[in-house]
Amino acid sequence: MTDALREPTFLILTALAARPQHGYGILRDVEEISGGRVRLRAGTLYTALDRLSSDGWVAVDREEVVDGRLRRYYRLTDPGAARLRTEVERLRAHTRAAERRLCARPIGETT
Amino acid sequence: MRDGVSELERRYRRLLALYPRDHRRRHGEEMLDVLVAAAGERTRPGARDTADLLWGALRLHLRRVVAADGDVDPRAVLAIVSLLGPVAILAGATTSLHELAWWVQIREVPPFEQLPDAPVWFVWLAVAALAVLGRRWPAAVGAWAGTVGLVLLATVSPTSWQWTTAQAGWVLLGALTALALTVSPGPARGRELAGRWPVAVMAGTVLVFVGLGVLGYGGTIAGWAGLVVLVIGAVAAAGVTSRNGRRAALVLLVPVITTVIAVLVETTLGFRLNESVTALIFFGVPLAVLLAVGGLPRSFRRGPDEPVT
Repeated sequence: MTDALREPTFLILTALAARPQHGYGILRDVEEISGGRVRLRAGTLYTALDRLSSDGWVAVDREEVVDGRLRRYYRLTDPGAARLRTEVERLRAHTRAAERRLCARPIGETT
Repeated sequence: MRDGVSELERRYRRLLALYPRDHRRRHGEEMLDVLVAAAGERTRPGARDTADLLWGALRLHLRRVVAADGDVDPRAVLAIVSLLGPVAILAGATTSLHELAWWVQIREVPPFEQLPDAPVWFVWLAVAALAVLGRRWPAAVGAWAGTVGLVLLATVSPTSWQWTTAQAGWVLLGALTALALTVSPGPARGRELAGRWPVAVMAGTVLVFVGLGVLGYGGTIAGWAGLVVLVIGAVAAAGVTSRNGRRAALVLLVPVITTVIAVLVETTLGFRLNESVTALIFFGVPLAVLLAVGGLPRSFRRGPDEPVT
């Protein structure tokens, strides 16, 4: 039984699913994916990246120097993609179950 | 505007300095880049950013201490302890050696009750020889026997009070050394990881410490000089240039921690603590220090334009 991913972890892995991104790009993407509801900050992001790298779910893709500053791009690894897929399946199963229960709910019942 | 950015960077660098060194080396500059990019027109970190950075630094330090990652390999640390712990612990015989020297001086054989810990030190001497020769498993068995002896001294001997206060560090060091000999890759690996001439440096340190303790027994200057020698010698032997070595030195210096605690307790408290509180202080605090101090950040003295490493 795999533990559920915490929301920031899920969103970071999702942000990296399609393409490698640098730190600021991940922050912006997470905000967009969550419809502006989740605004990660640098401390939280890099604490998560540290752990995700240790777990082998995320790896450094490349480094660039932009305006004299280091910009490091991160990518989702195959184990990271597999873990994200597992989480998506888990959430999908929960969502389907919730939809079925809601559909079975008698119309007009309010309490 | 440039001044504003510099001030912002300077403040962020100060916060980033609280992160573990290896994390700063890997991510310091890019975190700074992200922080500045996300700051917009701000000239100082917002309260939420500050809280987030502080929380992140704390979590990473705890992760390194508890999970022992971040360039510190607990097996490497224990391997160094397995080599040097059996030698370092012999410094704990200083009080008995002083007592023995006194009896020898008056040309009499000391009664056993004056030297109840003597058999324990013979066991540890054998353990030290076995560890240095790379006989890891016999050394481990001997170390556990030596630890049992130290625990008996701390519980049922006539001088048990010493072994639960200032001398408690030797009991702890014995247990940690026995653990290191049992679970680590062993003294042979420790020799590869430690500083130059580790055994010779540690043995020399112990000899100087014992010499100061015996010749200057009871003297304040000799006492503190002995502790300074022990600190310098342990750090040099374990390897001052590596994180594993410095962490191992911290383990070897547990007796110094309990000695300092004893001085603090003696000078600040005007009453006698009960046994439970005493044991909690002299055994609990060093263990807490071992867990906590190894993860604290180094001091931050860097200009705003220098790299965050």
